[in-house]
Amino acid sequence: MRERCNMELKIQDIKVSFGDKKVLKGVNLELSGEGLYAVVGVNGTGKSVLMKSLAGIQAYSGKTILTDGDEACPKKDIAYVPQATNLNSSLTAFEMVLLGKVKQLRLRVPDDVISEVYEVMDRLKIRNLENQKFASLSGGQKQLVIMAQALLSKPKLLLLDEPTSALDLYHQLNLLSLAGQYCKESGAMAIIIMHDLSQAARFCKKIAVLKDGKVFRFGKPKEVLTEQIIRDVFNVDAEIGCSGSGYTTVLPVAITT
Amino acid sequence: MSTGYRNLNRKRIFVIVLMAIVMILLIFADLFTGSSNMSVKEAIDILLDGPSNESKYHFILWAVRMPMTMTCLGVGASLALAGGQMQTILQNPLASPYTLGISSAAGFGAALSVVTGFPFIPISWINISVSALIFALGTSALIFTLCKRNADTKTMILIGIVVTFLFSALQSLMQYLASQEQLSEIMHWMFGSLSKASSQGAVVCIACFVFIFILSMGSTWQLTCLSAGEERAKSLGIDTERLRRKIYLCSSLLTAVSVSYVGSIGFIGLVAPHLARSYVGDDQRFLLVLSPIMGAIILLAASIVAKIMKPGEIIPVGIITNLVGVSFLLYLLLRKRL
Ligand SMILES: Nc1ncnc2c1ncn2[C@@H]1O[C@H](COP(=O)(O)OP(=O)(O)O)[C@@H](O)[C@H]1O
Ligand SMILES: [Mg+2]
Repeated sequence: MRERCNMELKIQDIKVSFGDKKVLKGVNLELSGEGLYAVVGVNGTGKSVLMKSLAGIQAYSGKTILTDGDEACPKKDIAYVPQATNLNSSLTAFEMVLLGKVKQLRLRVPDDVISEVYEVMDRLKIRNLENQKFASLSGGQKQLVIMAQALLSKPKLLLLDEPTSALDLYHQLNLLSLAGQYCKESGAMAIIIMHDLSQAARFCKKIAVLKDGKVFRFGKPKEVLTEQIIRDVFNVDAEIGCSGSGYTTVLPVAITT
Repeated sequence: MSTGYRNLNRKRIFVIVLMAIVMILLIFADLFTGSSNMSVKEAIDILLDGPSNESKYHFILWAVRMPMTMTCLGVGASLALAGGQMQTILQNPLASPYTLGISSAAGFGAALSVVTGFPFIPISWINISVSALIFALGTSALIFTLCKRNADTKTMILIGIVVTFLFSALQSLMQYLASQEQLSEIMHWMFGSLSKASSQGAVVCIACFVFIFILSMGSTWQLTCLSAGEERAKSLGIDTERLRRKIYLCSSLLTAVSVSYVGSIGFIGLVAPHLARSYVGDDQRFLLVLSPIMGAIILLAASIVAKIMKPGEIIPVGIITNLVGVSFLLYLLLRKRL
């Protein structure tokens, strides 16, 4: 086992606009230490755009600095699982996962890489999909396959864009606890866009709330998930509670009038 | 260890070997078909004799049929490889040298040369090919720079259609201006015919194919990533811009050499990679090998059909591949799974 990493991510003044439309208006965030971080916010605030910027797919102004201890991390340490993947490829699910190891692949795929692929597919409970065409899978299955690809690449920063939105409860929990487990073992950090606030509180150590292209609040679930903030951001009245095991719970009750 | 993945790959290798055997059989079949009454046994004997001027049949087999067959092999493989690469890097199943307008550009280059003598090289067959080559490469470069600013693949295909319209208009102008003699020369070019095949041409074409094939094999896994989409490739850490540029240059060169040599033989670059993909999927380690084999098979088959359809005369192969290709294109469109 390699040494655990000691991750730090500084996001400084990220701005993205499309034509005249300013989507991100200066996002600042500092994350340090392993674990899951949630990003929440209403539809269209630019959560996905922020994540694409971090993944290096979206051009932006500003700075992101990802470090492991004293060392800056190269791009290959970042893995990104998008909200939706549409493509014309005839790759099978197995092959799609395999690409997570692309930097190490030669003409013949070594046996140990194949077993690694099966192992990660087993962990995500998608081994049964191995020979199906990726393009023919359902939205949730596609995301799980890309998630497997991401885990296979052993990233130090894992970016998950609404990984749970298209999944049933069982796979939601499985995915989130796997992500948590992976981070715990390796010291990596994962940034996850979610809509379920209770779930965010259950799995994430900190939550960033995005509003109007900026970070509205960032902090521990208890600090961020208050009735006032949820009303300000989502226009929803919610009852905040505490579960038996000590997690913050959010029960949306009505639309704020 | 026997796993699903290994078994799948074993099946794919089996298909590739099978198709390679079919290709080799077709090479012989093509060598043995023709208008002179040479029997298969005689042909085999002459093949074993090696090239010489011993008899008329020796000459026919080694100096007439052999260059044509080798041209089928080289051109079919080149167009198929180029088409497959274009489909991958443009992420469009309809991309091919023909649909992007590169073939019609080359056709216009040839017509221009026939009518005006451009680019004024004293040796006539080189002159026409060079003109076609210039237009093919120029058009590829133009399409690429136009699409750099607007990388949308749909736009790219639309630009290809515009380019095709432009060059067929210019081509019509050339035909209008041409004398009767020049006209038949231009026609020959438009149809894409093997009658201009020469051993030098075949060697250049095959050498070019081999060179670019080896070059592409160096990027197989990166290309496989790209076949999974631009975004996926980028987030897997592939420098997609560079890969695109490199592969686009490769496929343009292959196309240009083929079409400047035998004229516009359409649809091989579209049909062959599709067939290959349906057998071995998008893993480029297999696709890059099977596409050229399928391309060669199609062109060899077309050549054999062209020779036996009208005894004593050779119908331009381009006509046959176009007929097959158009039906295939229609099938792809109707299937709606693009
Ligand atoms: N490529 C693009 N071109 C133009 N506008 C875009 C593009 N991507 C996102 N946007 C706009 O940016 C805003 C934020 O989008 P997104 O980040 O996807 O929202 P969400 O927070 O729901 O993930 C939306 O208004 C969307 O229309
Ligand atoms: Mg989104």
